[in-house]
Amino acid sequence: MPDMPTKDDSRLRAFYDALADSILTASDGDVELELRDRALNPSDVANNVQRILIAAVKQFKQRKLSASQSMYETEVERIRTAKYSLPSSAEERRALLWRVITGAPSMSGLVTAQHREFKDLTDSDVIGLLQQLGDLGVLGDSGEGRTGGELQKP
Amino acid sequence: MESPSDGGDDAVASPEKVSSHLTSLSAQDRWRIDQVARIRIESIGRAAKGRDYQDLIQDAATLMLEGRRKWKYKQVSFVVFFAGIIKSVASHWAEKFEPREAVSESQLGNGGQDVPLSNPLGAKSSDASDGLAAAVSVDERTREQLLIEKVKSGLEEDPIAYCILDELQKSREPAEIRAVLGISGPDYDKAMKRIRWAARAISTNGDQNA
Repeated sequence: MPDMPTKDDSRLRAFYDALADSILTASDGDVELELRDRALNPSDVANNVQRILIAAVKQFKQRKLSASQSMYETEVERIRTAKYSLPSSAEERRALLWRVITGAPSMSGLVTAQHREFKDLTDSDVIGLLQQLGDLGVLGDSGEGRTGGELQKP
Repeated sequence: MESPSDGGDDAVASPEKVSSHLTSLSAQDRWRIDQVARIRIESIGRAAKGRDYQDLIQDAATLMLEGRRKWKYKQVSFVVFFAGIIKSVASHWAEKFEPREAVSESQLGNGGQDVPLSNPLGAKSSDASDGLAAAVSVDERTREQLLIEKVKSGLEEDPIAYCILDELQKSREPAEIRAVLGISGPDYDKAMKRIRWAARAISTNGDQNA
């Protein structure tokens, strides 16, 4: 188990805190003077820190990008491999789609976006729309279809 | 971009804002971060376990970018906030450090083989190894105290700096020290600079940039 802080620790902490604080409170002019006095090349120090910071930012962005990419690929794979058992008859499929759309009015946009009236949809349109709704998880969330004709994964 | 709720003093910077500040620090601020990280790594001695000040800067920057440390930009400057995280990361490393890790590697002679960090000696640590671990811990503190004593002895001709160090050894805060010694802020700052120089000269082995 790590040691408990002692009086010695607190003295040391005060010492190091004071050193760090004195750096943070030094004016820019003092910093420049100090670098000159110590014959340090300001750009060497600054470039080294800049290199570390840029690397940290780059690594963070790459990790985020990689996580997004991975999520995207997982989702694409899920959609690609998803197979649904649709109701066997065209009437049942059409009835299911109607129940979903009337149960969730925002979904009616899916139909109108394709410049169709519901009654004009072909069975193939209905199947396509039901599959899209299944991919969107709409059917699962609404509970639609529990009474029959639900899109079900085999 | 801040969230819509960001209106008051508690406004938290977004990762984009943090990222932008990290990569556009002035040369002086980069030097400040460099120096603060060196001081903090020095302060934890062996608990750094081979990590250096650059690792400390990198870890602190990552914590900010990941939003695990939130910068309330209306309350504190970026550099002071960054320096605070550097200190906190170093403290965390020190807290997690088991002195017996150092013992197992350096004093029990494991031939440089990898050992699990969480329990390098296995579940049944012997009294002897505990004793060694404690000795290393004491040794660390002695080393640190020696550093302060060495700095003090190098500043015997500098009464203000010497007295400040004396007061720091009593765990006094800077404001208290200024009051006790009756010195002004600028005089205190100048003396601290001399102390810093003396400390660096002693604790570094010719590292030009330290």
